[in-house]
Amino acid sequence: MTTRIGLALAGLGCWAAVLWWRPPDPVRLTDLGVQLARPVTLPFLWRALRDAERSGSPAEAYAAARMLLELLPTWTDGHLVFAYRFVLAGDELVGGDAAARAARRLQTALLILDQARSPDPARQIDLLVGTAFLVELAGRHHPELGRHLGGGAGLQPEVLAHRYLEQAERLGTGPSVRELRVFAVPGLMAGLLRAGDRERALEVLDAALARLPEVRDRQLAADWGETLRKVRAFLTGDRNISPADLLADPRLQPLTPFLR
Amino acid sequence: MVLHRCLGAAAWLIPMLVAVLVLGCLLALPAAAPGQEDRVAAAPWLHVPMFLATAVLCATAIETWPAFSRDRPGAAWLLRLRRGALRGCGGAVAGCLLILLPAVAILATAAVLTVPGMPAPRIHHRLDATGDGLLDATRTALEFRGGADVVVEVRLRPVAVMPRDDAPEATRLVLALDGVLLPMPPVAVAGSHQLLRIPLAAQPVGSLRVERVAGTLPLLFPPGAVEVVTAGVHSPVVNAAIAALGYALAGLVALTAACVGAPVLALPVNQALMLVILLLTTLGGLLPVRWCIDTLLRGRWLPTESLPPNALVGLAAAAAGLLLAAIVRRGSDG
Repeated sequence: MTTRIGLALAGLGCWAAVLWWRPPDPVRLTDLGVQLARPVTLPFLWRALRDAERSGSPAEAYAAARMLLELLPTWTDGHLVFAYRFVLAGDELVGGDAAARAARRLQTALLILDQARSPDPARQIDLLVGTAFLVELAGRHHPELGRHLGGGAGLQPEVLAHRYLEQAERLGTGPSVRELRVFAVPGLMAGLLRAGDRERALEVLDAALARLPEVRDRQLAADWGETLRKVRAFLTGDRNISPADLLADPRLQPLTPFLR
Repeated sequence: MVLHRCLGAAAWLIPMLVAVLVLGCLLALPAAAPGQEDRVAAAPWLHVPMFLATAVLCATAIETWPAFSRDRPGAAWLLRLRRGALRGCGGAVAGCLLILLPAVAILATAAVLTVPGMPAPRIHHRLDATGDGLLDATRTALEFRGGADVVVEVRLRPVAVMPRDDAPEATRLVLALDGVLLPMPPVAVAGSHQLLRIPLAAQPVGSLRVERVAGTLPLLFPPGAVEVVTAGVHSPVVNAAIAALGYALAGLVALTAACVGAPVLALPVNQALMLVILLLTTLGGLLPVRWCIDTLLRGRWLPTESLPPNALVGLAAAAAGLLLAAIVRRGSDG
């Protein structure tokens, strides 16, 4: 009995010494917890999300998506797609002050996207650029949106989007980061198309086309614009566009399932 | 004996769980747009305490009644005295459920009373379309018959289908109640299962006409795609008590499984079996436990909701389990 107690105490002492000598990194510990919880909880969370989308409200669906994304923190496109759907297509109420509701939804989404930032600069840039794009699109949807932003003092969506882009520029390679918005559009569109939101996907594509003049390389901008117009035509039912030509472009790889 | 022990367990457990639940419900709700609040976000704070209460009370029942497991001290005397088909396990299940049901009802009631802005339960009536419920290029209007109830909101959730020939374009709809057009701009439906809520001044609705004025997306209105929310408000406490039946049913099925395993399984194994069944029926979604809680938090009056088929499957499984338990018991005793 005494030997057992002694061994147990020695074991505990070893553990305590290891923890004191090399204390565990809380971030890695959280990662480990997330990795362990993921296989058990993901199927239920996906089902909860599907149920919320089919029988709940958009706010409920976004809350379910948020729980799912907490287990998939590196899924940048997922964070953006669910936020886009909530902000741009999440108004189930007909009538009343739609711009005020959109502002509240945008603020909720921005808060969640801010929390999703990661130490990886590349992912953070993607998230910031996507967030800026979201703010811009929300402004296009609701011209009155600016009145309800900035804590009621009024803040134009373009100004808010610019702030996010400035943050991205500081992390990245300067002004070229802004051009990411135009070239990262297939990934975002694929997420929206996968969620069955064709209208929003086309809206994102149109916004990217409108931003093409910002690309400094004129030839590249013209080529990419041509490609995006072909994608738009194909997605809106123009069968004169050959999907094989589009699929040959590696930049459109995320859209492969939707270009067949 | 089981009733007494379960009551004792509930007496210390339920106040603690109520405290956790109330704190969780108050802290967990995220900010949302006005009129678009999500009360279902509080659901995990109901599920965890209700699951714990069910698990602890079922485990107490199994531990208390010696016939619930093999080779328990004192079981031999008891098995001689109780000659029923289940050796008293049926009574133990009933005793446990007598405590479990009010315990989970108290938890659900605490939640509905503390979740801020909890919607009052109202009846949501389905309106069925005349005809096949498809709105497309060939059919531009659909008629839905109402029950002449006084309603405060109309909800649409159509299924969008890809058009066969045209390019997909959001379909715009106008609505008329009893032949009078609603004074609002056309509402757009751009995706499948998109929810549209149209608040109304309280008025009786005899019929609803949905008319397509623009767009190419064909819309299907299956049963349940159009609902009206009635003006009358019902008791949230009664609604919470009914929602608690979901956990009581899960507890019944788990205890029934323990009855089946009783003659052959030792105490810890049978308790583990009960826990696994409870996890599968609640978290695994085999029984409509989550549906009960979500429906409660969405402010829908449960007695008028159509019951999911798995509720009846659960009751049937419990009945079949008790029958099987009697057969297993007879086989092991014989």
